[in-house]
Amino acid sequence: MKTKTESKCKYLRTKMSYVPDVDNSEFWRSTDSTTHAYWCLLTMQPAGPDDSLAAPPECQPGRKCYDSKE
Amino acid sequence: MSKKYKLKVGVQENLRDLTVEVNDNQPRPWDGSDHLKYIGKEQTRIDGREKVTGRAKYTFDRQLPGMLWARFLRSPYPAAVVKSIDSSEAEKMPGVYAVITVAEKLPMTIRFAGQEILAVAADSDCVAEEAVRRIQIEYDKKPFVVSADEARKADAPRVYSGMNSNMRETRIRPEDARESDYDRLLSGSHVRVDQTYRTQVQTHSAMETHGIVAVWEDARHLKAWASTQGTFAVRNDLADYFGLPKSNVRVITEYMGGGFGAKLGGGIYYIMAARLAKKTGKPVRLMLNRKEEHLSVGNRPDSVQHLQIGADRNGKITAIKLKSYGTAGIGTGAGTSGPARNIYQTDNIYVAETDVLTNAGPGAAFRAPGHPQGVFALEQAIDELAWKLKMDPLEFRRINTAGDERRRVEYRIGAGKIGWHKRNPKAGADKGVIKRGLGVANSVWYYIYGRGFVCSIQVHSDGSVLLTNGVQDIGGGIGTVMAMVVAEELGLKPTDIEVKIGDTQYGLGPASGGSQTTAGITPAVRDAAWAAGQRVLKIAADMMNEKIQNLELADGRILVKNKKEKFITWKKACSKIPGDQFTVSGERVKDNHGLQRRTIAGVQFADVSVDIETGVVTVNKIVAVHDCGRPMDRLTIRNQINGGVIQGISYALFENRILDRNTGVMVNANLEQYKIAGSVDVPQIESVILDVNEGQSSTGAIGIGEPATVPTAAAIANAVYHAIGVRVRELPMTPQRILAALDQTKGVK
Repeated sequence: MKTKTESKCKYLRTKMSYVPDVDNSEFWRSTDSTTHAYWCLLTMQPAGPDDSLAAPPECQPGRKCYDSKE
Repeated sequence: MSKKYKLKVGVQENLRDLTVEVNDNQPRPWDGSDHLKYIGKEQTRIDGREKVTGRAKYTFDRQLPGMLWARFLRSPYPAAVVKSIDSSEAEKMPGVYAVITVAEKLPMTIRFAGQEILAVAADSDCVAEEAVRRIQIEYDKKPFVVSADEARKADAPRVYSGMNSNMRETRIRPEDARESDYDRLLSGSHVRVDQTYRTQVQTHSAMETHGIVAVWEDARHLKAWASTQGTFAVRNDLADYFGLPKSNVRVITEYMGGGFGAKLGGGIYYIMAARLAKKTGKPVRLMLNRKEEHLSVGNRPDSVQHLQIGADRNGKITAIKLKSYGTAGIGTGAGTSGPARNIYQTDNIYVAETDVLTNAGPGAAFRAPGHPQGVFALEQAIDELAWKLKMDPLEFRRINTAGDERRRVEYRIGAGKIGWHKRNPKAGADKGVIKRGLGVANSVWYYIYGRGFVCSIQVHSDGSVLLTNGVQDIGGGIGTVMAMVVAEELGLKPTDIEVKIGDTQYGLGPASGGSQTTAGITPAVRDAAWAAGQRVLKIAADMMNEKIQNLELADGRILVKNKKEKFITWKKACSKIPGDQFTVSGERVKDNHGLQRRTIAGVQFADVSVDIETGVVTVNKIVAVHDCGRPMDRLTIRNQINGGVIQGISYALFENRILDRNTGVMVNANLEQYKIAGSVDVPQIESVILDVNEGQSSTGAIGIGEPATVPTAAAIANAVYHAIGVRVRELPMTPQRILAALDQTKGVK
């Protein structure tokens, strides 16, 4: 699996979501870190509303609960 | 517009010149030539009196008129489907105001014992608890798996039904690496180590539990007191969840009883408390109890790390290959490869990491995620390699980190303080039952800082100074450090500065995660203070008929440089502030051009005694030598190092989440059977804080919270080996494991 796996789902969260960076505030979305705990804002759990795992490779367009930031 | 400054930068007294370009609205960065009055010294906490007298109010203490108390109902089963919920008996109870479910609809999937199903709000904690007991849940119990080793088997019950296996796809770095290339390098090495190391699950044990008090001021305005490492993180998540403008949500953390990563970001308790408050129209308090802390708020994942490291006959590492797996329960984040990739100088590093899903509470960020685990394995393997080469383990490290000046200095200082040169060169050579040993291990962490943080300073006509920013103090003392920076810049005392923090109505502040708080906020504080000082100097210059560049701020005065008998007081100058007061701000911007620091280096040495009859390991002394850039307050840094070392000892010897494999339930969800280090287990801790000036920001500060806990367990493990001559490759190093390791050398099974 590639570590660079971008997810733009607006509900995906991890610790680094809370480190603002003026140039690239969404840099954490582009990496599937091996030490990050990911969760979904809608459930506040590692499983999303569709009961599947929430993480950058999994939270991709086409998933039922996916909601793009744009 | 910008200005260029020539700075003195480097490690300790070994300084060199460096020219940096700085924006016009920022001061010259502090460098190695600056000898400051407060910065780099020891400052007692400005809020120490409030804390020790009990006047400091934590979220746990917050009680509002008409407030309701909330409690969760949690699943007793590790895998199940909730088919129905009957809360009618509970809802009839006097004092019960609301029962709400986590899931919008049933059936609901349960994946770990302790998972939240619903929450009750009542007019007292006792009533809420009783109401939870009266709720009937119909479960359809499912097969489960709680150990990573079992979960990897093809026939193991699936934690997520949609997945083919409980193993997420292995992540390999470099992504295009061929494992066989590294195998060839390893097999061609003069010596190699090929071993497996195991670490346990560690749960969060902050003194104040997770929780929140939430109140809706009207239908569109939410206010909350939260025990959080990120006031703005909670604000943003609450706003996003409820579809509110961020400006309509206010989060306050006046005082906070500790957090190690799990309080960073949202928690289901935030959402449920706010939902209950919305439904009842009353304030709702939802503070977790100690059992809930162990079960549900996150933990440090366990690990099984297979490490292979080779070296040539001169002690130069030829290749490092790490294959690891571990479980963060139902979540992600069990990787451990950071240390393997970032401490030693070799291009030949191959890592493959796999998350294994189990029916256990989710992992969370925990003080240097992945690193105490990774260093426990790496630094023992490095030690083993050195012993195989018959080389001093410290010398082996020197050879393989030769390009890092910080580590060279740290090794020298630490070795001197622990008495490394006096150690017995043989392992397990002490006579008698109590055997003593020395060990060493490296730490690594990363320089992280966010941007856009804004501090405001108000200077009033009576000379008083108010500093505001929304950053929370999670116990590290950031408010004190901020006061020191302002005092240094304005020539006042830290106690002269009124500091208001922990409120999202102030300027954006950093979340306290990644050891970024001090590095993130102090440059903004200093820039604001510098701007305030310039305003007051201008007033003084007019009053004194002097040029502003001839004046300086010191000891509550504005002095003429080289003519110090000519001065006016700070208060006198401030009395001429037009309009009674002024406000200035400073913003955290990108580091000065061309400066990029990537790692934070540290080393710890351990002195232990091992009783070979009882297996008890006693840590006698830890010497901790750490880099945190330019030190701000040496007292709070020392506090952080002490805390990191104690937590590391606790991880090394005691802490261990135990899940019953037959029921999937945690059997030690308390602080009696889940052991953490107590005062009797704390050794002498000697900390040495390096001065590393790099001029990357106006203060040059870098974090210390996480690096201080990374190497402790590994240093103790290496000291245990030196003491008894036997490796203990699994945490925690309990007496049982020590005795088992000793038995193996005797050929006893």
